[in-house]
Order: sequence, then structure tokens, then C-alpha cells
Amino acid sequence: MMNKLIIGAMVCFFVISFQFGCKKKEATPAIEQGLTPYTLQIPAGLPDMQIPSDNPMTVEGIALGKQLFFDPILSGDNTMACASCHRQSFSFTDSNLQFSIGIDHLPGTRNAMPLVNLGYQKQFFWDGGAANLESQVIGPIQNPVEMHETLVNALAELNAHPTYPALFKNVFGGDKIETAMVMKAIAQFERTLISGNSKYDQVKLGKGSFTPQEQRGLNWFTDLNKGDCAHCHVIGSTFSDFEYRNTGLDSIPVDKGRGRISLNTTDDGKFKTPSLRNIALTGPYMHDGRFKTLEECIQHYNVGYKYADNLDPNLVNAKKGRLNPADVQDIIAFLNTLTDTEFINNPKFKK
Amino acid sequence: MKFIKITFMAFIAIVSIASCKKKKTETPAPQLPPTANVAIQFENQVDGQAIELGKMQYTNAAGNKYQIDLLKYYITNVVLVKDDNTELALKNYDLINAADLSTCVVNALAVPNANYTKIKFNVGIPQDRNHNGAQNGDLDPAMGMIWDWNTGYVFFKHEGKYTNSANAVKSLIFHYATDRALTPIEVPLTTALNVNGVDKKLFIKFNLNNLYTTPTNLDFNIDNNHQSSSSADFPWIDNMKLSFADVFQFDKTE
Ligand code: HEC
Ligand code: HEC
Repeated sequence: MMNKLIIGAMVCFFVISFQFGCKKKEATPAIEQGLTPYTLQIPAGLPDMQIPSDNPMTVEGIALGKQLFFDPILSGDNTMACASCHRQSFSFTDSNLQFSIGIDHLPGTRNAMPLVNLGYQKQFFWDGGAANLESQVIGPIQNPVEMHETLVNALAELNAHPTYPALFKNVFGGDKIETAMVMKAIAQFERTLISGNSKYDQVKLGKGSFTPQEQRGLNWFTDLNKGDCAHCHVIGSTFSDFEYRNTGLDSIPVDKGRGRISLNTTDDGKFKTPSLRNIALTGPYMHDGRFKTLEECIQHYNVGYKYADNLDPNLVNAKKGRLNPADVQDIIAFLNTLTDTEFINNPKFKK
Repeated sequence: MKFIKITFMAFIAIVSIASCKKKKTETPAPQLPPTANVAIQFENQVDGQAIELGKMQYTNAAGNKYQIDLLKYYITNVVLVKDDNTELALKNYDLINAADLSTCVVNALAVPNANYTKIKFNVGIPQDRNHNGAQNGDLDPAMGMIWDWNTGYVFFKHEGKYTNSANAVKSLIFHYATDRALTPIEVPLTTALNVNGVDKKLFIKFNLNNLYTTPTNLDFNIDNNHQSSSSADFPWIDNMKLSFADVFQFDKTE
């Protein structure tokens, strides 16, 4: 009797406390019901990737993003996709063109960037003008020298498409495809483009060893009195600290770079330090693709750089001619160990 | 035994009273509801002249003839201030397009009954929402108000033409943007907005000609293209910010 009563009371209490919770929780489900959450497989040696809370990754979202990435529907005349300028075999850069050619056969003014380990970066484009990976997506779509399409048109085409509306609804809910959904889906796919299985990574994991030349190259790369490359292209995982710097390509910059974004003239001629992963595959080099080879790049740091007003202090203090021709070849040999052939052949990234 | 039973029942009674389910109290039928909706109407004009796109029919304070081909601006974070100085914040992000009357209203829903004596809002997008394109509603990038090369919204756009001193028609383009340009506005309601359970309208005038007056009246022959994309435009932005205070005025309530 006593026991029954206590149990009864407990049940009552439970029901009541449940009632207490009658204020509706605002929390919208992180992902739409029925979707499969996706956990990134981060290779050993790479840090965790922060996924923005308003764009959690799902298997379905990634698949949709991938479909959009390869679909010319987002361009003005439906001939050009993101993948036209970002090709897997070139680490998602645009073959060996200095400037990509848009749908109107006009060249841009900057060299296409690789799409590798993007989730570690906070800002996108050579000048960091896109404040996050999602926001970057509308740039190429609307750029007159790239895909040259209006968002209104692109959305109308997607909404009238036989299969896209159902796919979007499945991933994001809602009855209409909106710009933010396109941005989020493509960003989800882009965050999966992770490279971390180069020879360098294998050596670090004890699964291989550098040749003596590659080892010398690594030494020069970090040696403050030689390459001093690691100052900016931080050695380890991302091979960049993604800071903006003037590396003295011009004494008076033609392209204002970061200055165009910060509206601060002391940032003129500064560009985002790029990652060096797969660097052997992504020539020509620099924001304007002015150097065809890695040798030209290294000779720039060795002797070529100009004393722009805001030249990075590391280069101001460096001694010109500190690398001899053999050192340069050593550094190239080291940079070649950053090529990840698994990444450029990964079937998950193919159309 | 009995004692336990009673304790439990008392406990249950207390908890149920404290529970948040509202008691249904019988209200006498004629009493008005405790809240009402307020439609805040922005009346765009140039010194009393209505906005008509594509007509060279306006004259600015400096005497330049000009036309409007596009006039859009963001009104965000509207706050209605009561006569006891307490505030009702809306958290809205509304794009006003002067050419489309249906967009020229900000709807405040379920405003508690009270006398409201002031309205506050921003022209522009606060910093925490300004640097992300993946947003919906009036912040959707398809609204054409966001820069895609430098993520951020353009807070105010006036595009059009003007007749220059040599009588030639030249283009006019004003894009007011960057965090620096976020412009807080306060408009005193000289006749209080009395919300009493019946839906109301609040009319706020927007006079474009009051915008081009700081530090002196802007001569479009000289100032005809400011796009906030270089530091050279900072003084222009700062002057616009001052002028905006005179652009919005209380008209009436209904
Ligand atoms: C016409 C060639 C072209 C097309 C098409 C194109 N891109 Fe690019 N992409 C570029 C160029 C050039 C840059 C560098 C632009 C700059 O810095 O101003 C770039 C930069 C990027 C970056 C920045 C990477 C970084 O590290 O900052 C991302 C991400 C990117 N593109 C994704 C896309 C997506 C997604 C699409 C399709 C919606 C796309 N691109 C379509 C040429 C193209
Ligand atoms: C002061 C910082 C800094 C130092 C030191 C530095 N870099 Fe760079 N590196 C940059 C920046 C910034 C860029 C982009 C410059 C641009 O495009 O205007 C860049 C670009 C490059 C590129 C071209 C990347 C591409 O995708 O086009 C290569 C290759 C490169 N650096 C290699 C090196 C090597 C090798 C060293 C050492 C000899 C080195 N860097 C030293 C900052 C630095």
C-alpha cells in the first residue's frame, strides 16, 4: 500500500514537472529530420575543424552541395560550373591559366585558388573579402568575369528544376529554394575537401622518410637565415597562418589586396598567406599568377622582392641572395612532398 | 498514512498552481485586448513630392535637378519607447524600397497597450549581422543589397541621374555602407502613439533632400559618386550619418 502510494506520488510529480516545461523551447532542430549527420574524417596530424553551428554537415547536404558545385545551372548561360575553374587534378585550381576565363570569354585579374582544407580558414579570396565560406559562394556566381549570373535568375532556375526543389526541401526544409541554402550546401561540400596524406604527412607519422635533399629543403624552409618560409607558411598542418602580408611583389601595388577590404591604406598590397599543400599542382603562382614555377617563387623571396613601404618585416630584415641555387632546388624538393595524390584522385570529390 | 496522502495532495496542488498553464479567466466581452499591431509606415518623398522613378523632377538644396532610379534602405532593430521610458524592441531587418509601397512598412505585432512617445531604429545592419551572406528574408543576398567581394550589406542606395552645370545628364550613385555607416535614429512622436488594443498606424516621413545637406548642401556636380569602397569616402559617410537625423520626421498616427 505504502509503496503503491509513493510510486503514485512519484508519477504525479513527474507529470507535473513535465507540465512545468510547457514554455515552448525555441531550439529549432540542428538538422532536418531524417538526415544523416556527417562527421568529418580528419587525418592524423591535422587539427579539428570547427563547423559553424548554423550549417551542420549532413550526408544529404554534402551530396547536394557537390551536385551544385559541378552544375553549370548557376552560371548566366548554363555553361560554367564552380568545377570549371576548380579542377580536382589541379588541387581544385584552374589548370595552368594565369587568369580564369569567365562565360563572356573575359579574363579576371586574379589566379584561381586551390580548394583545400578550407574549413581551417576564416576568410576567403586572396584579400579575405568573403567573411565566411558560405558568403564566398555568391561571389563567382555574380562576378561578370566569372559565372555572370544574377541570384534572382539562378534561384528561379533552381526552383523550376525537376529535381532540385525536392532535394533542397529534404536538406533544409521550407517550400522555396533560397540563396542561403545554396550557399550552405556548397560550403558543406567544400569542407570535405581535406588533404592530409602527402609524403610529408606520412613521414611525420613514421610511415616513410625524406630523401636527404627533401630533408635539407625542410631545414632551409624553417631556417631563419635561409628560407624563413615557415614564418608565414607555418610548418605542420595548414602550412599557413592565413595572415595578410605584403611580400614585395611590387613597390607600388597594382592590386590593393587586403587594403580594398579593410579600407586601410597600410594594408595595400597585402594578400592572404596561402597554404602550400599540393603546391606543385597549382601553378602559376601568387595572387596574379605572375610566376610560372616554384623556382621563380623562391627566387622572389631570395632576391626579387621589392621594398614596398609595408613590406613584411621578415623580408625587410632578410639578406638578399641568402639561398644558393642548390638550396632553391632543395626547397622545391621539399615542397613536392606536400603533394597528396590520394586527394586529387579521391572518388568522393568527383562528379 | 493519511498524513503522507495529505502532504502529497497539498504538494500537487501547489505545483499545479505554479505551473505555467494560464488560467482561463472569464473576461467581460467588450473589454479590448491587451495588445495591438502597429504598422510603421515610411513615407518616402522629396520635399513633399512623391517618389517616381526615372523622372528628372527633383531639385536638391544646392539647386541641382536630379532623378531617382533606385531608392532603397534598411531599417533595423526598431524600438518603441513608452512614456515611462521602458522599451519594446522588435529585432527586425526590413528593406524599404521606395518604389514598392508594400515594402515601406515595418510591422510591429502584439504591441502592449501603452503610450509610446519615441521610436528608435538603425539605418543599416548592425555589425553582428552585417558580415554574413547566408541569411534569409530581407537579408537574402538575392535582394541585391550585399557586396559579394567584401561581405557586407549596403545600408542605403540612391541611384539616378542629375543635370550638370553644362546641362548634360550624368549618373548619380550613392551607396552608403561599412560598419562605420551604421546610423542610429531617434524620432520623437510629438503626438504620442496610444496603443489601446486597436491596430494602429504610425507614419514617419523620409525626406531624401534632407540627406544631402552636410556639412553644406551637396553639389551633385562635385559629389555624384560615393560607394563607400575606399577610405576617401569616410568623410562623406560621416556627413551622411549626421544628415540622416533630419531625414526622418514624425508625421502622424492613425
Ligand atoms: C571563372 C573561374 C571561377 C569560377 C567559375 C569559380 N571560381 Fe572560385 N575562384 C576563382 C578565382 C580567380 C579565385 C580567387 C578570386 C579572388 O581572390 O579574388 C577563386 C577563389 C575561390 C575560393 C577562395 C579560396 C580561398 O582559399 O580563399 C573559393 C572557396 C572558391 N573560389 C569557390 C568557388 C565556388 C563555390 C564556385 C562556384 C559557385 C567558384 N569558386 C567558381 C575562379 C573561379
Ligand atoms: C612574410 C611572409 C611570407 C614568407 C616569409 C614567405 N611567404 Fe610565401 N607567400 C606569402 C604570401 C602573403 C603569399 C601570397 C602573395 C601574393 O600572392 O601576393 C605567398 C605566396 C607563396 C607561394 C605561391 C602560392 C600560390 O598558391 O600561388 C609560394 C609557392 C610560396 N609563397 C612559397 C614560399 C617559400 C618557399 C618561402 C620561403 C622561401 C615563402 N613562401 C616565404 C607569405 C610569405
